[in-house]
Amino acid sequence: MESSKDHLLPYARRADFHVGRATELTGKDRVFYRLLEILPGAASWGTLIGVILLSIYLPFFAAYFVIGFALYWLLKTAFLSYHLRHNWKRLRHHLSLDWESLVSRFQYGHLHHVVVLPFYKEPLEIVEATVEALSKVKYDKKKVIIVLATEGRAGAEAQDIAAAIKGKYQEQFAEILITVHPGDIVGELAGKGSNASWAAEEVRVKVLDPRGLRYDHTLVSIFDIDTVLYPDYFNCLVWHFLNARRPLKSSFQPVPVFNNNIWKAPAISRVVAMSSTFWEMVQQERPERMATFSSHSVSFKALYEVGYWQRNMVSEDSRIYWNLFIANEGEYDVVPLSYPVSMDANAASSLWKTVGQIYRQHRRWTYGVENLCYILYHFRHNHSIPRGRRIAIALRQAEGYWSLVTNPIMLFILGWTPIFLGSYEFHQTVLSYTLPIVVRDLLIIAMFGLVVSSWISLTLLPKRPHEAGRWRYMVLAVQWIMVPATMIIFSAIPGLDAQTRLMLGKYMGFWVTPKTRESNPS
Amino acid sequence: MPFEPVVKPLSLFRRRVLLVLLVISFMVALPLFIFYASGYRYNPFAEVPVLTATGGMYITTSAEESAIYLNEAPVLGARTFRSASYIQGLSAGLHRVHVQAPGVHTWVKELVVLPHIVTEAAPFNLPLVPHVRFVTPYNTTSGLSVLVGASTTSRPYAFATTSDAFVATTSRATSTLTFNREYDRVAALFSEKASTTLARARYEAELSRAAERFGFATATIPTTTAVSLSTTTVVLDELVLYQAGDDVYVKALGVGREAPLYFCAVTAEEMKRAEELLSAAETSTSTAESLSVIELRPGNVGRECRTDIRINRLGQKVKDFAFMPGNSDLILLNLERGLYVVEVDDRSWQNTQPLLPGDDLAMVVDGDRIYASSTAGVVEVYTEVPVVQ
Repeated sequence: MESSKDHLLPYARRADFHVGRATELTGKDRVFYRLLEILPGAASWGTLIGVILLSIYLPFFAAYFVIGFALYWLLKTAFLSYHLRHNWKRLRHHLSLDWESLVSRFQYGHLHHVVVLPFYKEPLEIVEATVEALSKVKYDKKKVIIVLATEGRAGAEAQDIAAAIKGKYQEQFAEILITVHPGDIVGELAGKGSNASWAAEEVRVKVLDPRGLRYDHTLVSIFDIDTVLYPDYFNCLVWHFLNARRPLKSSFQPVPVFNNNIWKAPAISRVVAMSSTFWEMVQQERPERMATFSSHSVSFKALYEVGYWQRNMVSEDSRIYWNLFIANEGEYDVVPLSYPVSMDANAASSLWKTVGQIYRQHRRWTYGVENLCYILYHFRHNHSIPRGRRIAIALRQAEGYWSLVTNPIMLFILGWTPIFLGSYEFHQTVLSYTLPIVVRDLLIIAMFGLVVSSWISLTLLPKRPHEAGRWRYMVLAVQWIMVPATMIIFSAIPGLDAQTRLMLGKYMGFWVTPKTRESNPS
Repeated sequence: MPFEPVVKPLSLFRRRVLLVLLVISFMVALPLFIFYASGYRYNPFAEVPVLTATGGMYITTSAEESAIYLNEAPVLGARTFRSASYIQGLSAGLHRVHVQAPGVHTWVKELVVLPHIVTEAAPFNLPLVPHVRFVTPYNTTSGLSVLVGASTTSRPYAFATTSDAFVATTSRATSTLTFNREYDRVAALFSEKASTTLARARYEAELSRAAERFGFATATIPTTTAVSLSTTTVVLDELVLYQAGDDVYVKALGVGREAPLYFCAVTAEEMKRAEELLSAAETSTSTAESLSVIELRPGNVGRECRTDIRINRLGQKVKDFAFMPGNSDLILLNLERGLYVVEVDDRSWQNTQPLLPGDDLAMVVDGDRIYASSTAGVVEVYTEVPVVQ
């Protein structure tokens, strides 16, 4: 393992650069970080309780606020739908391009790819489907090094799977490296980040250095184990890398489309999965707000300069972006590829298990609020980033985590509290009676955004299997009426759960989403 | 689209333009929505376009397929729930409301609408033709009521309809029949009521004799005494129904926001009328008048609220009274000519609708059921037109 910090960027050499939680710090820094951990939960709870108190003591003001909020939501839906539609057109255009010929205009033979596939106890068919798709990409696979990053904790079965995959596909790639991440390293949190970091260092020591591959000529793609690549992914990635403003100071973000098992997943899972995809598509149109998410690519040099992914926290996929951004003093980008990678929608053996899985997965995702503490903490210390930019980013991130939790609850539940909790004087007014009508109508208009979502979702479907009738298209279109419920159940509540845990210092661990391709559709 | 990658996302300029447009839309639309929700309406097609502050009316109906008419015009598209309609954008002033449905009495009321305020009303519509179910001493083994000594052509309560099957027989033999436990229970209720009513009558007679003996101008039954007499005083939802003299009153135990809204005067005219009544009561020796008026107390919402409302008894003697089952807005009166339902709400007039005609009726309210008894037998009286399956 790396022992020196010489290769790290100056700011990344700080002892607290990879801070994961307040308990890892001491003195004032610890107190400050702890306050930052309390902040998001306190803000969200304060807002929700504030709306209730406002409804009781100032119901007229609360009613005006609710109307304003519903109107804001309608306009926000229009704003986001515009971005979504634009990205959808861009994504379809990118899918239609011959990237191989586009990239052939450039010299790119010097580039190598390391594909890190961390996995735990996922079954052979999941791992094999991913590697099989990798074997079919339109790219010189002898430039591709596969790293099957296994967990020692997963036992012999995981090793057997890795060995089987290696045996079957080794000849097709430059190399398939199997790494085994020990489960007993002090200071690490068992999870994807620690495993991927271990694998990255292993591939450096065992493959890149022995072969003399330059770090700035090596692109690392870290994929969830259920990620199935579209054939032109590497061509698209290389094209963007070669055309990026500062390729070595950029991460490259594809659009995760959770459609591998979309025909088998239950409706609720499909809606939640596609909603996540749409959110990423919207973000692709406003890259200044983007952080890396799930599967993404980055130069090995950039990774090496910050000590790889953090090993002591849950949401390492977006944290790596903030590591890079802060260590590079703000001179770091996320380049949206607007090119899809396919992943699995959540699906378990029963509907209730699926619901539980989705909830836990989204709680883990929304635990990304820990990044807000990290950002604010380092923004206080790293003055190399312009103050205005720090403030803008901090406000944007804070608003994002706050609205994720509070907006759906305020809109669909607390919006009605003035009617139920308001005073006698309020109940007799026209405002009290008209409030639900106005809010309902605004939300119905906002639901037209779902029509856009429904249409776009149909265009992102893989080929319909024979066992699924044509009527399923109708189900897939109509399923979007569940969005208000899914926003609350799988976005706001797990988000509030995650923020509350962080606020109370009950830190979460990494929960591995079980992957299966068998489920009961509905 | 060009055959090159569209590398750039939406330009910042376009996004900013869109954002600014949406922010402007928000700034413009928000006051409009708030004004609209608060009841302001603007009619650009009026002779003199002007912004007016309007009120609303919330009407909850109980009759199936009821239609609402406002100032003789049908109200359409105002239904918020199955039985509730919210009429908005009403100009301030007096509005006449009709609620009617096939086979039921029409409910009519004139209601005051104030700017920014919603006037609530709960119309009731009893069946035009009384609808009953026979409760007979005997049932057949299959549970049908048996009208002994009757025929289907000359059954008791022939003026009423019934949708419950029964057997009419001229035979007096009961050996093949079963006792009807419901009848036994209801008969016991009637019997119990008769005995307590007798006690009440004796008490009232004694009061009357005392008044004569000591020369009281009027015999006033204190409310507190009335409350303690369970047979003639009923309490429901913080409302007390009691008799004083010949009249029946509803007293609100709470004031202001705790009392139903029709206990509170809401207009200057109504306030003036209430004050006049109060003034008249102060100079009157009539117990009834002094009670009908009603104590004016400042409600805690800045409005004057009464505590007592007299129930319209149609000039008939009140034999018995009760709240309608589960509904403190309606009073069930047993008058000389039958059972009637009267609403407590006396804004404009109190709607009164006959439930079951008859001059020898007794009534009992048992849970959510109303039973009537006469020499013709015992029936359960329905307040809704039965739904034809």
